[in-house]
Amino acid sequence: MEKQPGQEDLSEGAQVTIEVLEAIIKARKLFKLYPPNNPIYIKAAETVFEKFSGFFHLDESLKLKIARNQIFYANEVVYHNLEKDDNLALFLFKDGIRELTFNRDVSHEELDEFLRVMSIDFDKDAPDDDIVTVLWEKDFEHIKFYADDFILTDDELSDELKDAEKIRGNAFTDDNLKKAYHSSLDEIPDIEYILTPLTQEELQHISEDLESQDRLKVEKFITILFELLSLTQKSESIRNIVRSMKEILGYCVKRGDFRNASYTLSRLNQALQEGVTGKNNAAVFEPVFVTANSGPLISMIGEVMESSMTINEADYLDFIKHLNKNAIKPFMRLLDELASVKKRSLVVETLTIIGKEDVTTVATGLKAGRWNVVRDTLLILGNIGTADALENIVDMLSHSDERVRREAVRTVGRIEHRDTYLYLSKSLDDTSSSIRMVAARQLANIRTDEVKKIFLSAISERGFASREFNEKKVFYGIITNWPDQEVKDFLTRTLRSTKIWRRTRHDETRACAAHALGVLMDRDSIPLLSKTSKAKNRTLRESSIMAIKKITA
Amino acid sequence: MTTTSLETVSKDIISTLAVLIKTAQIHSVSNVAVVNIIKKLIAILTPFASPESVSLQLVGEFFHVNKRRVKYSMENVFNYDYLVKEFKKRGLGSIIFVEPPRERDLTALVDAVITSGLAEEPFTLIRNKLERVDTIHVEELQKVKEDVSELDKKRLVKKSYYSTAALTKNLFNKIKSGEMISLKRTKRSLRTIVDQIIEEESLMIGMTTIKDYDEYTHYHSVNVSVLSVALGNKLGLSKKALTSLGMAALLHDIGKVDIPIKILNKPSEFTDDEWEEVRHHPEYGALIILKFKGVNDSTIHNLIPAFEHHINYDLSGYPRVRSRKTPDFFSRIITIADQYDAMTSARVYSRKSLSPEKALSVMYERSRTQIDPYLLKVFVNLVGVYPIGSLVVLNTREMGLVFENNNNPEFIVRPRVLLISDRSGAKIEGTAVDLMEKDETGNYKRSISAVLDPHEYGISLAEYLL
Repeated sequence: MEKQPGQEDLSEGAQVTIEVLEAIIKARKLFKLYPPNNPIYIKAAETVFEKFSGFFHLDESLKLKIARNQIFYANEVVYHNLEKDDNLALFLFKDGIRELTFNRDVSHEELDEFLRVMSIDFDKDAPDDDIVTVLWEKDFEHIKFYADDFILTDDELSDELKDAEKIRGNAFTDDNLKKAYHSSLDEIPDIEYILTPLTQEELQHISEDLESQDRLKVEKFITILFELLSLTQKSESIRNIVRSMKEILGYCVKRGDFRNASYTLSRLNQALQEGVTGKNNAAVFEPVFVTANSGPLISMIGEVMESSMTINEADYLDFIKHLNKNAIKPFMRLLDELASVKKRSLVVETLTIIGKEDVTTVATGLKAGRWNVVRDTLLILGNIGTADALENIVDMLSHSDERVRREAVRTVGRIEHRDTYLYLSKSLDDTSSSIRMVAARQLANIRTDEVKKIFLSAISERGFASREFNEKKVFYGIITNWPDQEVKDFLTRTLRSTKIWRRTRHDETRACAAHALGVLMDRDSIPLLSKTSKAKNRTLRESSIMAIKKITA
Repeated sequence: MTTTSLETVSKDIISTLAVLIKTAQIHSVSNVAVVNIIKKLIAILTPFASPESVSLQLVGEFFHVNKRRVKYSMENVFNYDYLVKEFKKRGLGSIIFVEPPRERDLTALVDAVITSGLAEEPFTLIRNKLERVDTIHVEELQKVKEDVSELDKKRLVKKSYYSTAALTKNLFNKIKSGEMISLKRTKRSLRTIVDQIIEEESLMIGMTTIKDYDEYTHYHSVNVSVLSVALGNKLGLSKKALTSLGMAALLHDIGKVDIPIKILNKPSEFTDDEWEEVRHHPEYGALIILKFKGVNDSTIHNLIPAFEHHINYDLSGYPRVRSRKTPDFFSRIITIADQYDAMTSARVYSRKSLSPEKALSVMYERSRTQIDPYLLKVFVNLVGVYPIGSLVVLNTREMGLVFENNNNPEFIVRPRVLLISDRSGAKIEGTAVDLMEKDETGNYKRSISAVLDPHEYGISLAEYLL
């Protein structure tokens, strides 16, 4: 905004008004750039409210007069701009606004709405509206305006005014009046119909009808598009209908209305089966399916997810079921872009549904730079469950990020393949204790002799004894899945063994063996357990006592 | 008190006060029906009015209770509307209950309101009658904007109507010639119509009774728009919804631009083939809207009624559709307005038009088949038993044209009438009379004894309105 000449000469009211206008101008710009839940957006709105509050300490209403390039407060110029662009005065003036008044009781919500109106790009986003119509529709309680209303001159109305004059000229003559009068002297039959006031039930019915009408309009519009399709034969009309179907998809998605987006695609599939437009059905409707699976539409879904809109998950998933593998790449991009965990889990669910058609494309997410994208890709592949991308998944078992490796272990564990156990066994040597435990638990689901041998071998390794007690307990717990003599002998040997060096760690291992014998309910080990129940090491002592109790219970 | 409960109490006050005044217009203030309502109002006010007072204030078209605007919903729109008109008629701005009123205080208020109904200075009368009532104060209605003279009001209404007609004609012509269209100016003009319907419904509805234009289609579109908006307003639709409805109504017959003009202007009955062609105009209309506009709120609102306005309530109309869903709410409103205006107009292929009350009678027969019965009832309440423009014969042998309905459903047969001839049948300058007026003996001065068809005699409100 241009600096006002001699601003210091202005009254206090005018100076405060200038601050209000500056805040509005700034908010207008920011509202165009940021969504409503963005902190910058919120701060801009707050600032405007504060400036208004500052003014209302001086006066109970702020009345602005609008000229082409200037705005006045109490005859003082508080805004002046000769530019065509970004000119607040011209923006208001060109549509007819001449006065704008803000009342002291104006609420935060009203000001927010007002700022939203001020930031509309009418040419682009609302070509059939102007600021007067929109402000008027808002029906603000504490913001009033005066507009120069008549948009047609008498010259432009000349035909209609001539029509009016002609009719007025033909208005009833004395003769006509006499005829009517004489007719009135004859007997005239009554028109009979019953007029009854509306009952409460009828009012209720209308009220409910009114409430539901907005909700059903979009569905009705879509239904009509398909009715038109069966009524028209002209190819230009069909093209326009199909174009509208594409647009209604975007319209619905932008508003988070997945129910109607899904409805559109269901009806489309139905129309395809019925052969509505004749031989070239598939070709005719192809553009709609392309749009449904396109990058721009899916980006819109991302924007909806990031916004404060509530998404009905059931409707959303219904919509997703209509998509095909062409949507995979755009959704993979979305996975990379979304910040919220909850929203990303929705995308994971999406890719689980559509990813089945092209696992290879989904697997490209394993090359992502961000660990969480890789992790989510693994989750998706695990949910899908096919072995098609197993090789790529296995590579992730040696990923640098522990969180990725953990998920890779889980994913490998969920995929049925003859070599799954081999892959998982590699992770028993992972540098992270938690990953080793996850791998162990996954392996535990495979109850084969080979796996038993793997566990016995892992437990027997030199470094195993120095692991944390909890981890050792998990491993020993797992080998109880094989309640055979070999395992019992192994456990008994372990319980019996003693060491001089690193005794505490070794006693913890013995405690794990005691616990495992308890799980196996091995009565033969009671004498040994009785002995170890008196050990100096508390963990070993308590584990042995618990094992005895379990066996003898 | 919470905001929600304040809103509920406010609505109750307005509804109960409206019912009280209506009832007191029929019965004396000591009648048990009136007394019961007074007691009910006291029960509502008492908890509210202690310790602080309760003020019911009319500002513009809206009531405020304790300076909070009261929104009205469908259930109480009639009472709300009725009370606004009663307040305005009396120049009454506020009623302030400084403390919980007693029964005798409210009786005095009701009596003051009723007796002031036809007084020369109604507000002064009310104030004087309540001088000794210490629990109730009244204040005069504040002018929200500059007083507009009757002539100015007519001028504004006329300009809105003809501006919209001109813009509609322009729109139809542009569509016919394949040019791009913008609805911006039309919407803006429609806004003035909505405003005037909210404030001066009778004058604007009166404009729709002026027929016999050479070009029927675009005036018909404006009339359907006016009647639809008036009906929507009665249903309590927001301004935004009223504009959407008005625009959809303006465009409902847009499909006719694709019907050959020689068929539309054919002076005799259509052949079967010609009727078949005309029956395509709803689908043509929908296709036109799709062709010229991308999908947005406006397209959705406009397309649906363009397609559905002849489908009928029971889906027996045209075009024949496979979906068996009830027509859209706006479509059903526009169907009513369309049928009413069409029947009361002499069109090219049907020179004989029906009188307004005859048209309503026919529409009643079509209730539940072609027409939504609930909305029809609201429409009849809107236009009245003797719709605006009806040529009525009074029991005094005077003749007149109905130009404003009575908002009290109990007195719907007593509208305001513009006298056009005296007892001997001689033409007189239009004098407005209220059929609620009573003489010294307490009898009504005038009543309607018969209705004539105004078209038969070429009589309309044109001379008065134009």
